[in-house]
Amino acid sequence: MQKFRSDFLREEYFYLKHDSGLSIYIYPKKNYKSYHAVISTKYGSVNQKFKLNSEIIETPAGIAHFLEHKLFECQDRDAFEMFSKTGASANACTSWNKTEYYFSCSENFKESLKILLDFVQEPYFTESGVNKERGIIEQEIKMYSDSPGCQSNINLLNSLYWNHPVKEDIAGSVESISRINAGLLNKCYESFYNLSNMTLCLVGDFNPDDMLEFVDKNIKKPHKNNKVESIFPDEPEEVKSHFVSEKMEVVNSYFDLGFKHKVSGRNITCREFIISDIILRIIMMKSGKIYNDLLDKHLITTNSFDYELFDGPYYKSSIFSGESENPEKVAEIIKNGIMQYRNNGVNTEEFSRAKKCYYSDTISLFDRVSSIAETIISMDFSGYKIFEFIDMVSNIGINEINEQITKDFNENNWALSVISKNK
Amino acid sequence: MNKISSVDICEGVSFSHINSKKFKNFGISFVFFSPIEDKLASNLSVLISVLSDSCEKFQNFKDLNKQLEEMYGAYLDYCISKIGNYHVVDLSILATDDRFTINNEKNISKVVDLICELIFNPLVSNNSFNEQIVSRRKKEIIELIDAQISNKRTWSLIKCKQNMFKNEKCGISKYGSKSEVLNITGESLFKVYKSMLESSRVKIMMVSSSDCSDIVTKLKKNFASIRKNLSFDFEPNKFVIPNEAKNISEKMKVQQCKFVMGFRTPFIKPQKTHAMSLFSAIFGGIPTSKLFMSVREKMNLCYYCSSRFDSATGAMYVESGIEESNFEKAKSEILNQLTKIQNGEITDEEINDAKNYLIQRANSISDSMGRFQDWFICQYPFGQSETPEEYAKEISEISKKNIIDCSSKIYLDTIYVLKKEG
Repeated sequence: MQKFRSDFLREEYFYLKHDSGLSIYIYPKKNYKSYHAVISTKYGSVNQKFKLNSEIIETPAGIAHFLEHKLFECQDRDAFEMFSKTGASANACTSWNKTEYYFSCSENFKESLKILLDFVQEPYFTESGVNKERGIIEQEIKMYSDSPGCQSNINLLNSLYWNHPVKEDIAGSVESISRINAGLLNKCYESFYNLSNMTLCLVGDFNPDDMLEFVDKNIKKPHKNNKVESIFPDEPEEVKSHFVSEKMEVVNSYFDLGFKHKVSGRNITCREFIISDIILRIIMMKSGKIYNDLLDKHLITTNSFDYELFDGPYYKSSIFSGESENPEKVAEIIKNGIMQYRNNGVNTEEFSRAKKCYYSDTISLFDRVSSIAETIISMDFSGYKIFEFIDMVSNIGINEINEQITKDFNENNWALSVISKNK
Repeated sequence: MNKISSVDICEGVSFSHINSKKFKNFGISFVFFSPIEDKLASNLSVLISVLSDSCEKFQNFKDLNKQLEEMYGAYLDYCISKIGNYHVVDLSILATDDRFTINNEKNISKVVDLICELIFNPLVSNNSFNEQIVSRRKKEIIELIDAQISNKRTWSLIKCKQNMFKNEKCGISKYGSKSEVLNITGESLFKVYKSMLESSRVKIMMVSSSDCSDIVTKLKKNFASIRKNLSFDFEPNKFVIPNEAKNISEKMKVQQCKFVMGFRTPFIKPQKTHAMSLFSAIFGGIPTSKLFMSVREKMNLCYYCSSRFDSATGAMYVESGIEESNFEKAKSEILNQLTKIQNGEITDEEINDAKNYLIQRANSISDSMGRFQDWFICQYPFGQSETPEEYAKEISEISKKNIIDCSSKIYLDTIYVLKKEG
């Protein structure tokens, strides 16, 4: 096991690439009563088309999410039922680029970990089980269709991207999931739930050697050499459309303003990730010009505005979202403000404050066992390690920020999605 | 176990400090409790928002936030809620603990000074808050009121509660009404501010690695000059058996029908409510609950079907989202599961699973600064301060008979259904 330590944070963890191919992170957290375990595969809603050995397979939208639902079903009983015996709170989540299975507990950690490792390694897909789940997922899809925030985000991605599967809803549609069957789920499982495509992270007050030994005993599958390669379509640099709108039962309009960024490889580097995050903080700083302009003009409120860097395999964008009476005006102010940064550069004081905020948000991650595990997994999938962030942020210079703004933002790479009130 | 020490600052104002080196951040919250009254909800909501905007020292939002960013992005937040018959508003800051600042800066004392400035020295002239700021913050609260309809699941719960507690204090919306918000002026708000500091009950909670004697001195000094005698005692919610269940429905352009069933129970704080909490967990609170296993897993009618119990009002709510044509089927299955428990159809395994779940969640509370603070804040109106360990012990001792007894005292009061239009 390789040990990583940050003297400044007073934290350490261990990493091992197991013989099975599984990446294992073991993170002791002294004096914590909670434990958290996550096992994740690099398989999300964007991995719809792939090459398995030499066969090209195309799957319906929503299949990764469907598989996540069905993996909880074991031959003799449901994994949730087994977790209920150990008292752990378990769940799973499918996103665009990964599927995670996790649990938290304060007792019986090993027993729960065994359940997690067992059900992820032992799929049990039957046609009757698939049919039964379809009704439940249909209701989940409908639940999200009634959420203006989710709908606005999906519509935005559909406007930013022409071909990339990131534009599709993670859960798919009622139509697409009707094409899913047990055979297809098995094929996807064999392709993406290969342990070399997966990462396990354990956080809690335990002995790391003891944990590793326990995990080692519970890895059943011999490492299969399935060669899987996801296929992504060519994606133009331009956005598909600048504006999309839909009507729903809301009072104020919901909006998502997105900027589509050019990507040069599968994932952005750790450094680019930090730089892009700091840029968003500068643009939308609460003490900054754009934010205060929007507040003073009563276009947003402090409760209803957010932003995020949205990145994954062959996609990267910056998204500003919220509620407003006039989303078009909000978009105009943000776009003009960004162009001013692009033309005049970033002010050193703002840059220094944004770095401080970035630093404090990053160290906050170490206060919760769940956020440590989630961050480690996300970083592992992008090819970097958790302490690199803290070390790297201090030596990022203002020139890199200005260069990245020029690369990432221009007058045309934006799209605005609006959900407005039913008349 | 983290060490908790509590000091009375003056009558009705208590300070609790959780001394812990576990976290890289520290947190401080000022929580104000006032008995529910008409119009007070809207005033307190706007007030707490105004207090988070600026103060005498940092006279506008921009300058205040520049200062917060300098303090390692100290996160200032306000929160508006209700606990039983009480309005609860709080102002809190979460920031980097002194042990983790880059150049050993003393962040804690600076942040504490700042939150005291916001609370004790707001931007006021001629006994009035700044009208421009008040106007902006009124808009913010109106937006929060308007936004409730956007989340249809939350909306359904709000509507069920409103109809259930129509003529009772706890039925008043936590934000108040739009028309009340619109009537607020800088001057009227200043009166509410004075009265909140003078006579509401106040809990100040802090979690940090540092000694807090300076903070106690500072708080005593600040409250000494403004505090008046408390004019109220905490009054628990009253239990009444509903005559007949009310059926309320509304139509909207939605994809999915949502419904909430509101039940009344006599288990209301400060009485013991743990057996009822355990009942709710078994009934619909955990992933292997009776409702999850029957309505979702067996009948495949929904994605969610769950129950939640509010010990401050004694109400239990069951929520689900379904095809409208399945409503009667889902409703009768929910009532059927309740009858089954009333008839004693509950296994030791189900009881142990739910106990295990609740106990483990309680055990992990001290690992989260926010959850740890909330744990004590929720009990404060009832004069209780049970630790998570004490709660876990009580839960472990509840018998099957206790649970069945609870199930026989659950009365359906209101069913709210949000239906598809057209």
